[in-house]
Amino acid sequence: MFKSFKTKLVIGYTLILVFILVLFSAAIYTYAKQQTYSRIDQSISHRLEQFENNNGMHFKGLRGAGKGVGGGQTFLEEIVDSQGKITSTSIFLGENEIIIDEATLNQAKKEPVITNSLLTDDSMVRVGIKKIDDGYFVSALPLYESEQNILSLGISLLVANVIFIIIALATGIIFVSRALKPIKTITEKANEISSGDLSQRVNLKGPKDELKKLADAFDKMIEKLDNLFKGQKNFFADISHELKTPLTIARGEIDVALRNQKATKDDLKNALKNAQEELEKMTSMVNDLLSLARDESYKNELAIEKISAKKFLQEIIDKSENLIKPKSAEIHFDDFKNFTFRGDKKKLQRLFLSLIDNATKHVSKRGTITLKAGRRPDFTVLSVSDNGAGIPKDDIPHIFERFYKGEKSTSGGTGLGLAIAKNIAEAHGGKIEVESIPDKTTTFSVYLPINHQSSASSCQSPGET
Amino acid sequence: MRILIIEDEQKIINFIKKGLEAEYYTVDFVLDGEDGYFKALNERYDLILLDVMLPKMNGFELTKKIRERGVKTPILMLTARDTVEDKVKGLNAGADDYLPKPFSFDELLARTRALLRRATTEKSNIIKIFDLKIDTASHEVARGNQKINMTSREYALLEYLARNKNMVLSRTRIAQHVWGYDFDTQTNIVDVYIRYLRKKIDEGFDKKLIQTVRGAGYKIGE
Repeated sequence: MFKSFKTKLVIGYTLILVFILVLFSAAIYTYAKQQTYSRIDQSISHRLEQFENNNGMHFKGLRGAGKGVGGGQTFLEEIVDSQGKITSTSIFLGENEIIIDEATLNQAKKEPVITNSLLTDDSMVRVGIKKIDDGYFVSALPLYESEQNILSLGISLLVANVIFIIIALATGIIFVSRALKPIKTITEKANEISSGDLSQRVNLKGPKDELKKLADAFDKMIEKLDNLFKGQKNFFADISHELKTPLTIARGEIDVALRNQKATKDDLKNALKNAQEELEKMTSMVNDLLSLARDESYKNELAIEKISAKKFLQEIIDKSENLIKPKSAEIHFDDFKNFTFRGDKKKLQRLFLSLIDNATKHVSKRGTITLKAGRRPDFTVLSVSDNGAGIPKDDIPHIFERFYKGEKSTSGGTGLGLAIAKNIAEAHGGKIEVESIPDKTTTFSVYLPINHQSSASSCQSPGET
Repeated sequence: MRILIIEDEQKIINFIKKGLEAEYYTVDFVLDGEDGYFKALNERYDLILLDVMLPKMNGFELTKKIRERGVKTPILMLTARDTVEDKVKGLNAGADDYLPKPFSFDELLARTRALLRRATTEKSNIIKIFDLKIDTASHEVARGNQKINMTSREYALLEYLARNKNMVLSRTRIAQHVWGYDFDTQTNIVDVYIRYLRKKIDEGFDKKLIQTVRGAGYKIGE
């Protein structure tokens, strides 16, 4: 029903205000009424006492009595006998009589009673009854005036309350609208952003209050999403460029060769060879992309096993034979005290083959690639070093990005190898670090956390040398 | 017809160059945006094949800049970026056509011919001058009903003259567009080839189509 927060807030706040005002007015009203009655009652009891003191002069006294007592009001008085029959009335009563029931008279036998009653013309009076020798003395004050006063007080209070509530409601609406305006701004921006424009920001101005903090947090979140989407967009642009280039070349070579009616056997052979090269490049790119996608979607599914460090490095050296052949590079590992560590062997092999592939591209002919393994308190460290040209300082922060190829890079790789390596290290809860001294040495160090491994694995496995 | 390729992938240049040269075009190439910009600005080309993602200056920027400098050479963008926005961006920058990679070489040739044609008043691949017919797609030349065989260079020269029919073309300009480089004014290779052409096209016909404009160059026309 009350869908807007603003309405809810205003209504809630007004209800509380109404409640407080009603309570307050009721208190005033009741207090005023009580005060009035107690004043009247005081007058009447005073009058009853007076009557006692002037005993014996009651009939005469009644005729002229009443003036000057009870705050300028006129007492209406009568005397009834013990049966309740009126024997005498004061002149101010005129044709009226004060109606007294029997129960009240009985009550008054013991002590004087003050209560509400009516005259025969139905007007309300406050009446006091007192036992005298042969009947009762009844003295009354009309309530009409007092009741009128109390009523007009009530009406004044009501009117004041209504006016007050209207003012409060109006200022409340204005105040709440103003206070909630940033929420409106944030909502509008959020709608703009969800319609696709991630470059929008709320950029809320004003004091650093809760809403400003909310808006800032919101902006921060959008910034992050924006970057994420941009990254993804760039990634797809890169993939499409990287895949389309070899496709374009392969197709172009074949198209041109087929068009050429004077093409010799060598021309055709050349074209096919060029196309083949591109297809090979595409194959390795597609493989890399697939393994990257697999690694990312199955990040937690590692086939963890106990791996002997020496055996692991030896296997990598055996497998990298084809990689290092074109450069006739030399590969070896520095001897160390063997230990075992835990990890996904296949994935770690791919990681190190990627690093070796990368190193091979950077070493000069007959360069050296050195593998090392060691333990730190919390990490197993495995590293690949080469004595090649090194990586330019500006490139280092980017080399693990997919498709990043250095400005001067002519290696012709897919640009995905290092991204794959980083993914695998991170899937193990570890990391890769690079250190490069130009023209001297470049070292990629892979840190695998030991807490990832059970304590049993730190013992040497049997049968290892 | 002289074509400039601006593309950073040498292997793509290789096959395009091979394919275009087989069609009697003269081909020049550069590997980055800045070199491309200077070449497009300072030399005469009949068409520019332009990649978008280029080192130093991208294809959109290059197009905008050379158009600002008044270069009207038709530009055909070749790029892996095939979204509608990219195409719109390229065409708005001042490119004349847009061909996403990978492309069919036949399509590249067809679009090349269409763009070259657009620079003239011709609306088909066949250029007619009096009773001389040149089919720029099949490279067949005929005068009246008689088919004429030509070498590739002769054909290239004839096509260039025919595309600019009734216009006087200087020897330097002809050399640039047909041979692809600036000749020393001492060489008379243009005159030599004009002589070959005249022998094949005008000899034995009353109406001579190739005319020498003294002190200026040559033109072809009725």
